[in-house]
Amino acid sequence: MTCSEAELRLDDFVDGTLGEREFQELELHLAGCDACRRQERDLRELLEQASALPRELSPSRDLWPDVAERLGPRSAFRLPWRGPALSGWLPATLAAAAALAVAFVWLGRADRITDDQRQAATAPSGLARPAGFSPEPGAMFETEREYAQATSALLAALEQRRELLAPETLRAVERDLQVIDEALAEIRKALAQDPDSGPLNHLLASTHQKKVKTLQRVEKLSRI
Amino acid sequence: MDLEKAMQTLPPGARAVFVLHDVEGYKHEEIAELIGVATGTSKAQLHRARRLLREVLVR
Repeated sequence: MTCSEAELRLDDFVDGTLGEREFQELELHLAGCDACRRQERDLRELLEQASALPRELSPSRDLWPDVAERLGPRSAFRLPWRGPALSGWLPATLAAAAALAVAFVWLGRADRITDDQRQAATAPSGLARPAGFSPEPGAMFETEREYAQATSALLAALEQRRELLAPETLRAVERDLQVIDEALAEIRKALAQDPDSGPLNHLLASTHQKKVKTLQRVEKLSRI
Repeated sequence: MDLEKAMQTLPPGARAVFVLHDVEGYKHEEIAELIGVATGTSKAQLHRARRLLREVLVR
């Protein structure tokens, strides 16, 4: 193995994703090459420093405890932000959101989204008022209001830094936010038919939380 | 130069992948989905980011 070949494989080597044969070949090379061993040591030091950096943008206030208290006990839904890294990203709400997006396409309904929904779904400046938002007193009104405040603050911060983000990242975020907003609109419609549904109320709150997490993630990317 | 300052010198795409992979702990497949690139692009951007950062930090 040459030094160039070794350099190309160092990332997978330190990440533990190199195949066994190449791993053995690289180890053999490193044993006899001071320059590549130095590269490996520098890379491991870099990764150690990176892993010591703060992992999450700290929200000004985590809304979920208050929301959970208002909603009461919950049975079938797993909170989407629990668990390590992305394993907690998708399960309940984004899967539901993705399923709704697929359903929109499958049913040919994408062109029937109202202007209000489209405006609410447009990131990052579109959150003037959530689509289907019905200002009635009660737990979910309070939840909607608090999440609207949280997302508005994040959207404003993001708007100021959007030029710092790569275009493909902005497109991906806008796509995710649109899916989430469409899911929120569908959940609100379902809640209008069944306002006391525990699972629907939890799904609405956890989908809002998903949106906040998405915005926190991209806002953090724009700051680092 | 410390790492956080060095990260600011990276191109946006490489910086995003480095933060997601090496700071936040996301996998390449997840990063590809999150930022709308191919998995191979995520790996290439990470390799680039790590190489550039090592160059900056050892100066």
